[in-house]
Amino acid sequence: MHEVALAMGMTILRAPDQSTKDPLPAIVSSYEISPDFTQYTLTIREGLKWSNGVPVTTEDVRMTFELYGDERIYPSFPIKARTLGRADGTPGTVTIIDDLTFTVTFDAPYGQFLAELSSWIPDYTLLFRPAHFIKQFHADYTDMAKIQPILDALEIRTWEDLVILKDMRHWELYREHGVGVPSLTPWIAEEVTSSVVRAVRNPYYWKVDIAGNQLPYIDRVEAEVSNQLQSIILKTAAGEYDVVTSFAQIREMPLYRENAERSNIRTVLHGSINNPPILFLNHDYDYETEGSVWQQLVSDPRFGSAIASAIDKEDVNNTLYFGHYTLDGFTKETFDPEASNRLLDEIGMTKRDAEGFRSDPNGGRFELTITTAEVSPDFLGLGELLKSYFENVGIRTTLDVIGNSLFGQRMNGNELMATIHWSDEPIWAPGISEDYWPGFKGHWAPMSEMYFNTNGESGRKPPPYLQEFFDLHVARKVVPPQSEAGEALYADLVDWFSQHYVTIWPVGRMTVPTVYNADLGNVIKDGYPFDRALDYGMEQLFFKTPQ
Amino acid sequence: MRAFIVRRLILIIPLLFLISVISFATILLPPGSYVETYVQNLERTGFIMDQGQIEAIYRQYGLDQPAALQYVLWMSNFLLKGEMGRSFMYQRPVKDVILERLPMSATIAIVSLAVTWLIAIPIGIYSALRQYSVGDYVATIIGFVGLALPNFLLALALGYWVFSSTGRAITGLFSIEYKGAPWSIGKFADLLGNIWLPIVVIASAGTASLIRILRATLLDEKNKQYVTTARAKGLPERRLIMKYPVRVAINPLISTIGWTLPFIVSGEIIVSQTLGLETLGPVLLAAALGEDMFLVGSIVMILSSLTVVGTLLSDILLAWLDPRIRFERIGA
Repeated sequence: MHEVALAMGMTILRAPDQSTKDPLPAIVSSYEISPDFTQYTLTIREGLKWSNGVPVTTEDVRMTFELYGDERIYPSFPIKARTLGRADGTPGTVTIIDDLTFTVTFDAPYGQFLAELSSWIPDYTLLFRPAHFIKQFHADYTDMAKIQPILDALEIRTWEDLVILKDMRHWELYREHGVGVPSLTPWIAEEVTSSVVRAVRNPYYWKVDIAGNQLPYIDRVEAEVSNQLQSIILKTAAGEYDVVTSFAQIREMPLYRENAERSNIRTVLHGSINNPPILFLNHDYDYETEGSVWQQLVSDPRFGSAIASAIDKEDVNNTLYFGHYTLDGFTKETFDPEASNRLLDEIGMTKRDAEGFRSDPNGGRFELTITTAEVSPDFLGLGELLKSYFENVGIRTTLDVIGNSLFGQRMNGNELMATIHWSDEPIWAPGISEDYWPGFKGHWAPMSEMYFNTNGESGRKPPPYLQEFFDLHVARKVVPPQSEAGEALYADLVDWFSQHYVTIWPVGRMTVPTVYNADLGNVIKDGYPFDRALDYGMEQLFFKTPQ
Repeated sequence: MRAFIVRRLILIIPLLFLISVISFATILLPPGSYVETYVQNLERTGFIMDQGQIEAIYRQYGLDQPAALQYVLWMSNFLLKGEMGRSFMYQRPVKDVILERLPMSATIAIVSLAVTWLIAIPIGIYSALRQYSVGDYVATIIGFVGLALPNFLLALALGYWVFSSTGRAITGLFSIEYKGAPWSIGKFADLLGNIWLPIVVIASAGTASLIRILRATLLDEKNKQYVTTARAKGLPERRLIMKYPVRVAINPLISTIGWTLPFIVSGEIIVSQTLGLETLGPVLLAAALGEDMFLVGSIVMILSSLTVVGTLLSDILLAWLDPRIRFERIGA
């Protein structure tokens, strides 16, 4: 099932594109940050209302922090509202000044919080949950005699579980239990079934156009819920959807162009929030084995450089992406099989077997196993290409394609040597995404990450070169990511990635199509990354011919 | 006969209990849980969930309890209150998810079964009676092609053919404006414009195999001595064939009628998935992949119960239809 994202992105602050540099107030009317980045004072936009007409006040913020700190409901305080966004950071505290003004305080500098306030990933729900709505289900505020019938009807065991269900993050607003939940989005869910989401305009939405007309222009939005990519593509080509972004697929461009007139659709190619699949080398794999060959190889940057040099980036780009992707990324190597062979010889992988494959530096059999799941149609094609490039320089390679769920389990269990997955880091304005994190989309050091997250209670004590990464990561959170100091720290982090080959980039930035109804006006055609810009900003769209 | 039915009904109870335990255990076998899959899917789209929130969801879904307790709670609610638990994926009671999709699953299954029988029985009889005729060869070729061609491939090819020749994409059973809308003439017309494709696809493979089964059985029967005797006694040919060998030849159809009941609930998962049909099959598949265990468990329980009941119905029908089976029982 695909995620339905209808013009969310109601961030607390807002900067152009997806950046966080000098953000302007959005759902707040003003904000002030203390020079040491420990105090954030925000004033809610006067007259701002939830979608049911109830005013948004500091009581909503107070309630949010109360829920965060209530162990009956959430066993731990959210990371992004803790100092430095760390699991061991002290929880932030909120001070209510009046109905509209409040201060969030941290016990140490936390400049990254500015990015969190400006990013659609945590969104407004980071600080604002509708208190009046949640209190109806909360036993401290409402008599259990009133709550019990709701529990019975929904087949839910306790009031705490009911609060968790109703206290939702923005990505849940267009699921069935999001119907009736007050929000700050342009459209609110009216009906959600297993096959369709219907949303209607939020009558209290606060944005207006330059002429003072309230947005959004479109009254109703319907989104089909489908788990069948081929169906989505055919219906897109038939013009049955007004806007298709993330799932349009560049390889289907000929189909869309061929049917443009008949189906009254238009296409535009643009950058994407996602990056193409990249190769993750797991630097924690097999770390518990004494004298592990993999550990010996992967901790030697020459091995990573040899892998990167073996990849024919242009071939990948032309074969899978019609040459539309860029060739940059964290790894700077260009296609150079000679250099790759030379590096592999240097690290001792000189002996070859009868099939021409290299042995490991100790003379034993060596096999690189790349595992992937069919998250996107191009993962498999890329895997086959990588296998051919690596075998070209004598590295025996196996491509293992497994189910999505099993992939996640094995990745979490540190059972995968190398994986193919998306990662988003370089497309964002410097450092506002943390997709580079070692245990996020593809895993490159999951046990070291565990050690970091548990303050050394479990996992692997990172070797010095991996510890450098964690130090850089922590250091950059002290200041805002797009401040001068923040950008310099992020550059250091990128250097670290280039030198240690935890991620290998077969191609760089993606180009993807958006297909839209030719009758639709105000379609964003510039800006980057475009597909999310549209998903998260559709309130300006209108039909040139009245529907 | 009555004692036989009562005995079979009593046997169903421990059988269903066993099925429920095995199906629940099977659902728990894969490593991880729905919550882990959900969190991974969110991460793929850029969202990060806090550990506290993840733990809260574990507790909310009861996944923090031992598996045996989860089973007991699920089964006792199932038996005592008719509740099947909540679907994690849809955040709704399981029975609502099932009831939303069941009518269309049943409609497609029943109509395609009827189409299969209406086409296959006459052709099968014709093929057997006119063995090695041109018509028989044509039916045989069509039958083999139908058997050899995977349903999902036929669905994809037909879907694309319809799109390229008409500009209309037939995927799903309803256009988006009619999804979830109350029934109207427009909605019914929209359904008719879409439903024929899955029915053609699903019926094609069933028809092909049924023609082959019927032809083979009828060929065996029509040369038996009782047929020759009846013919020698001057019974008209049409009445002879239809009353005796055909009646025996359709036994395989009757004995497999028991499988029709589970088929009505979640038949042709792959075709439904390929064509994006709003039936229960894709829900079962997605739930199994997403480890939505109460949803999977409930559907599997319903399917198992229907298979057991359906098999009993088949046996009763066979005994009623075929005197030899009845006499065998009396003799025993």
